[in-house]
Amino acid sequence: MESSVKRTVITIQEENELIDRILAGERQLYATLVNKYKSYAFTIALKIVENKPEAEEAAQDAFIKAFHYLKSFNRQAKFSTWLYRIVFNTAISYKRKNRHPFQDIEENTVEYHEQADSQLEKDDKQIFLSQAMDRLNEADRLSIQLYYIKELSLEEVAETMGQNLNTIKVRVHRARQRLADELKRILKQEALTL
Amino acid sequence: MEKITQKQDDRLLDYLDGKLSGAEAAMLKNQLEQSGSLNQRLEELRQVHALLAKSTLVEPSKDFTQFVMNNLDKVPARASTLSPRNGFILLCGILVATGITILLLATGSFDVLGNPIQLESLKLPKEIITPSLPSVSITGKTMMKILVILNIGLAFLVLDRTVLKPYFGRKHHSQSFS
Repeated sequence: MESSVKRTVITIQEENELIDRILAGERQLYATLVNKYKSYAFTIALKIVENKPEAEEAAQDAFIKAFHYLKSFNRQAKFSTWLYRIVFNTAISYKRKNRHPFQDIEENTVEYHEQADSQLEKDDKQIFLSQAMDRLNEADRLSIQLYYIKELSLEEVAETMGQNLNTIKVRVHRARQRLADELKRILKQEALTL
Repeated sequence: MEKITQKQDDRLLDYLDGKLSGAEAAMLKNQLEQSGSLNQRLEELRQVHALLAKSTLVEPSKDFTQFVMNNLDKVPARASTLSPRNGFILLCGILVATGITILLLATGSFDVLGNPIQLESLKLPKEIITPSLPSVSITGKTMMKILVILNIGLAFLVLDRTVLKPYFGRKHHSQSFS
């Protein structure tokens, strides 16, 4: 389900006023913040746990945590960055807690559809990219995936992952260089098998 | 073919991210005109950049917000330090230990430990003991029975925290997701 829903547009100042009102007791207003950030929270959680129901659970849990700790939110930071950090940590805990070391082979069966052929050709590079992505270490993979989530800057990725900005910059650069090398190798191999 | 250095690679990525100043970008463009391999590397990196840039936000289920709002009063679940796998191993360990203890109890292995403990026979400094110490009748068998009961209680707790709660929690969540 791709992003198609129009997101609520509110400025940082309006957001802070909203937080004040929520803290003053108008808790129903929290839904505005949830609606604004749910896609980001869900996408971040999904990149980490790689499973939709678990990502949804982790993202919802993160929003509930954020509501409980809203008083401690430091207004000097952006609410989004603060929230994404909670989402990141919650999703990491979920991933550790619910590791799936064994996968049923039947679950991975690829169904063949003739109509899908052209789509497959079109998506070949995307498939090769995910193959190459699997070869990255987890920290590099997450850094690059978060960096390419719309509107997330290197600074936000660093704050979300609780790491130094330079470390993230190195990770994002290194990951792209490795992906380029890996993609080149895969494409060469594919050309040889044709 | 000319080898691309790490520094050149970083510069190409900064170029793709639009982070080079006008002068730096002009200098790089000049280098690109002169070097075929640098050009080729830029294309490889551009391809990765373009593929990654295609990633979009994914929407959660329709009742996402409603679920959050309905559960705002719930105390956020703290992540268990035990994974289901570790919990299962711990549970098996507790059950095996309990089983062995029950077996040993049944075969009378602890019957020899049935004598009362004579505290009077302990050699303690006189100034510590003024009255005479009583003899406490604690048998090994009773202690083992208490341990078995505690173990069974612990096993139920581990089963609940690591297997039952996560299982039913996920099931409930999968239903609300679909």
